Amino acid sequence: MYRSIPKSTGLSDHYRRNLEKGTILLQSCVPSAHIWHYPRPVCPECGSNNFSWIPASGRGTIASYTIVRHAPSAALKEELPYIVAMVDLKEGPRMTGTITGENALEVQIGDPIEVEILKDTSGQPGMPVFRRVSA
Amino acid sequence: MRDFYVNKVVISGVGESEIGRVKDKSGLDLCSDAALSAIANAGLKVKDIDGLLTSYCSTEPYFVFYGALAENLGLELDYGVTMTAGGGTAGMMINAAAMAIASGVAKNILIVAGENRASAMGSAATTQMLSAFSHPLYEGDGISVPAFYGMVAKRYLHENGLDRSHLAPIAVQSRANAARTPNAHKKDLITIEDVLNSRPIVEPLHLLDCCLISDGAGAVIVSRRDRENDLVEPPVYLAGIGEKFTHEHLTVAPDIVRPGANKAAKKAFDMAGITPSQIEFAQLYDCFTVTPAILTEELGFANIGEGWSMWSEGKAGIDGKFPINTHGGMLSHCHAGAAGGLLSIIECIRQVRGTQGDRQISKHDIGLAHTEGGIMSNHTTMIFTSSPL
Repeated sequence: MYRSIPKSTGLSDHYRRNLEKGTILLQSCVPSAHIWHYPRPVCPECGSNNFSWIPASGRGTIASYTIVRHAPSAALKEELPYIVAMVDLKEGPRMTGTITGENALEVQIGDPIEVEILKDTSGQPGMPVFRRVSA
Repeated sequence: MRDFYVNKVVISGVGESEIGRVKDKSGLDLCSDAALSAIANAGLKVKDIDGLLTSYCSTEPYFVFYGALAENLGLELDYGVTMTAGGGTAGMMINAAAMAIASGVAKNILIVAGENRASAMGSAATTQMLSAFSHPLYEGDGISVPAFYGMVAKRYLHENGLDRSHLAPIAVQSRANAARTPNAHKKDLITIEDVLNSRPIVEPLHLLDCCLISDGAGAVIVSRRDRENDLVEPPVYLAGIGEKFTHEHLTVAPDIVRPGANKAAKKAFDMAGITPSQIEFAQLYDCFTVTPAILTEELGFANIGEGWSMWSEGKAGIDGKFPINTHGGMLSHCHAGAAGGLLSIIECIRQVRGTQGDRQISKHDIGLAHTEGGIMSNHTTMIFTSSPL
């Protein structure tokens, strides 16, 4: 890890505590109905601070991906090749993660996926993992 | 808007340091060399500089980099700041300087960007620094700048039914242009096969689709318009400029491929009162081969999905109908922090002056430069002209 991760506070702490239980929370704007990820204090569409938290279904489709063949750090060298993908959640927001499972390297844009939150060696929730599923 | 500021300034000088692997110079040395070269090029004395804008300088330990550079050059300033907006800092410094000159707070503003990233940091440390581009709270640390651009490239190719061979001519043409540029980092010619066979980094992008890691610095001086008759070299005018920021993290971008470049460009074209068809050549940000391909479309030089063909059909060559990145860009000339973008602006200014000898393009009265920072997060479009529009 190149940089230290900031301490979770307020919105990010709420998000993280739910992530530890396996739930990805999204914010839903009351006036505009816009749904967004990641946690921020006001709606990025209309600027309202009147929002509610909703759990993500964990389903979505691949918006784009890259097969990483050159590791950005020594720690990630062992993982090569790995995939970084952007996923459009069913609810609308986009998020990044890795793709695992059989034939992960055969991923295509538009593939349906399910999100899973794995714990790292210290028991902390890590980067979201996407698994390809049948449509 | 034009009368409010761009019409009140003239580009009076440009300069650069030695570029490539410059082992015996620090980032501060390179920036100082570029600054002194630009001051001489403008026909000014060091003490005539009353404003200084610098980018960040990743390889130097100074807390306030513009202060360290100003002190090194013995400057007393009426206006100065270090700006940090990634590669896009270059264009944003031009805009900030123009606004500051027009407002009257300074008369001659020196703009400098540069680092000795190749010698002081090297490839591994630079790559690791650039891996910290994902959101630290919500995304992992394995998503580097190249990985984000890999996703941009994949999406661009997917949307337009292309594959990576369509981007390869961009790298080949950049190298051919750099081979004719005296101070370029990489001059050995490459072929389409070389690009296709280079090792994969973040598929679909391979090594020769990626910009260089160089040592180098560039400098530009923006002066009050009333200096236009006192210059050493032909004056260059800023006819229009526009900025647009849309996102810090790519997941939040309004579009993975086309977030904001067209909005910045529209402001620049509106300010200049011209259309893309009147632009004679362009210097486009080229951190990866896919970036200038997208920019040709976003800036109105090519139809959506067809930007890549400007290279494969030879239009983008120095002798082509619409030369692009005539010095070789960041893919082959130099990329050192925000210097890559600034050196493309400098090349635009030099070509508009018409002073580039055997690599001078034939039509050069209206040139465009475009820089961007982050993952297509901020955009600045600049239009430079040989006479006021």
